[in-house]
Amino acid sequence: MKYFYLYIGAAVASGLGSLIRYLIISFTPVNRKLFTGVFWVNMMGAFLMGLLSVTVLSNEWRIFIGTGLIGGITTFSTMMTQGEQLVTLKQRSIYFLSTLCLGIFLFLIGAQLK
Amino acid sequence: MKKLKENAILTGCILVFIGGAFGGIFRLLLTQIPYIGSSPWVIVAINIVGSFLLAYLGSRISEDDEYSLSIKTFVGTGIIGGFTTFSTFILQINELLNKNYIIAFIYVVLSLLLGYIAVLCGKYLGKRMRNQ
Repeated sequence: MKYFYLYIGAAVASGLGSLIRYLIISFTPVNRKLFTGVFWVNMMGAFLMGLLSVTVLSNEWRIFIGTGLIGGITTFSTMMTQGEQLVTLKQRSIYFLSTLCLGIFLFLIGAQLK
Repeated sequence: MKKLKENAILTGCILVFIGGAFGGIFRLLLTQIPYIGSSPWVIVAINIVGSFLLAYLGSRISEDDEYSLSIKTFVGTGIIGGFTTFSTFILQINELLNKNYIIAFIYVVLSLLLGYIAVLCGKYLGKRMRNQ
């Protein structure tokens, strides 16, 4: 029963995270190539994940916030499809690599703040 | 017209919330599988499958009417967007970097490369199914 409530909680958190993602993407100008809404939600999520990784929390809260909320905010699939829509291979590589590198960088910054 | 746009955003919010909840719980259940669930490669599999499905959906449904957009918002942004994750992917990279640089590098390359191939396959298949 404990797991049941945990899963329901994580589902609601993931729904909320997805909602935040949807709103941020909806209100970001669509004519951008690199700093798109998807880019910013992923950066935000990577930073928050870094912060969470050094925070002392119970396993339940970690699933609720980490897997649910932050996991819902960030998305890999939209990043891939959006990057693929860029015209040249160079643009695509820049998009993927900058998302990856800045994501790791922001994660490490989040992990330094304690 | 403005009112209509506000309604579209509100409907989208509800669809994304419900879809995201389902996507998130699928991901959580997969990471809770005994023995293999905690492996970082589960996230890779989730992300690749999600990328394929999203690309397929995007090219399969090309219409711009309200119904098609609702399906795309619910399934694409909600379920698939909530299913795949970037934050846990970055977390796993950092955990692997602490253990073994080479495995971390392979992890990143495989994720991006297979994800990209999955997008191309999904796009191609969706287009073919649409034209049939």
